[in-house]
Amino acid sequence: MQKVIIAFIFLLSAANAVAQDVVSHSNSALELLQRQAQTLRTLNFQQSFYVYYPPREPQSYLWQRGVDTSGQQMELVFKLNGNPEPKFRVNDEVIHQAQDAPPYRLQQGLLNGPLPFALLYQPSQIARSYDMMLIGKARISGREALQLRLTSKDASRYGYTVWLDAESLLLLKLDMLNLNGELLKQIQVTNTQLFNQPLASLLQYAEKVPQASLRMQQENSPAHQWRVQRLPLGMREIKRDKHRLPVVGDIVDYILLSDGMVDVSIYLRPLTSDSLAEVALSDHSESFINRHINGQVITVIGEIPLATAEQLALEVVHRQ
Amino acid sequence: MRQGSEELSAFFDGESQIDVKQVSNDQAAVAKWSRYQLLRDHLQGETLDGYDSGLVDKIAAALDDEPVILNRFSKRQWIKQNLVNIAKQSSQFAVAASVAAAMIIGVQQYNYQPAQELLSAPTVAGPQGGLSPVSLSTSRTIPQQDVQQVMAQRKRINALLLDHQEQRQRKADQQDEQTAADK
Repeated sequence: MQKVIIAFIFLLSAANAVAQDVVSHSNSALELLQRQAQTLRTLNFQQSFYVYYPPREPQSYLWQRGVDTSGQQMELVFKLNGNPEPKFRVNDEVIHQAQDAPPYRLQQGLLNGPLPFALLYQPSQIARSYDMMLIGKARISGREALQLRLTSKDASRYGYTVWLDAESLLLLKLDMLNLNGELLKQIQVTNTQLFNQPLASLLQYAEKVPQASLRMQQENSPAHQWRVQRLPLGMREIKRDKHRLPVVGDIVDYILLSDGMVDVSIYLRPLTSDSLAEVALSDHSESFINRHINGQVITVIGEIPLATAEQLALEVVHRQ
Repeated sequence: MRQGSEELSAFFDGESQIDVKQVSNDQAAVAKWSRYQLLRDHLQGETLDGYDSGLVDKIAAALDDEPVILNRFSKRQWIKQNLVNIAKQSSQFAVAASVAAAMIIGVQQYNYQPAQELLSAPTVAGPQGGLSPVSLSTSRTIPQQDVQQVMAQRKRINALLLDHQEQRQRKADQQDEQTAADK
């Protein structure tokens, strides 16, 4: 009997140790990302990376980051193939450039893609929606890396595996996976160069480009009364407006949701005889749902599972 | 100094000069500017970050090969049945990503008349103004009205996908105390 009790106590403490270990590893994951965010703001570097959506051809990018002596944050991302389509951030302003047209700038504290900048700069926000676990170590891009796993808390969104450089904590790789573990998107850094000071090109860009850009404000438009009754955990409504779609010019009531890792657009307009048919489409990572519900055409688009997109469409209600 | 959307459009096509400072004071003009930019990119075949015209091409191809037998189920049943099947095949919220190519669950149109035989490639006037080749097998061409309907549907899907990318690019921040603590 004594042996049974001892064995039982041993089992309990072992289980407790494992549980504590799990807790400490999840705390470690968030702490690691927070430490990474703080470090990131002090670094001057350049990284080349590619973004791969199987089975499409990967797209290559260059990311340059710097902070000058006055503390001004600068960040430039552009494509390495074809039209560079640069996106440039100086502190809380992002300058957008398209081919053969003057740039315009918006009040935005983060670039929106192709890297998960919210994860890199604001990991606490991501922790609302995703459980974070420190899995272990690996070798990525020739570097020792710390491997983390991000799992949707309510299983409504895809999961991620993230690898950070063990020394600099810079991002080395990110995989977006469905619940079957199949790869939907991959970001892999192919080269990293750290510098003691900001790149001269970055400083020049910061000096010239904002002045040459049009300052734009988000349009004030009449809000609508639609809302999503139940949102996926940690997902928030970022924007609501009424605007015209490009090309076709249809006026839509619009809601933008985000959890920091994924953005979801919801469109509503009255059902007519020539409305877009009901359709559910998926191109590996991105889902497109179009439903006819109570005289409205509701479209949901985002890098989320089809079932989640369908559920969001059903959750749209009119505020009383 | 001319103002207005026509002038903006002309400038955008490189046909005239414009005083940028004056334009920037006109918020409505500035908003139009952004939309023209996007439209131009689209017409020139440029893509936005993350937007791949391959998805639209796949959708277009699937709409061309629209499934015929729809009259055994109601529209709602048909969609639900297929979504349920997907959910069963892959656990919980695993998605159609398990299918190799873009998966079309169903395209349903009000007042659609199911064809009795295979449909040929639609006689669509493409950008070059030519017609797609007609299959030599037993087939019939889709009535012009249906072709126009399919084209209109494609255009709408395309427009929604484009707008989604533009809204994402212009997204404002979600700052709050918790994220400020990450600084």
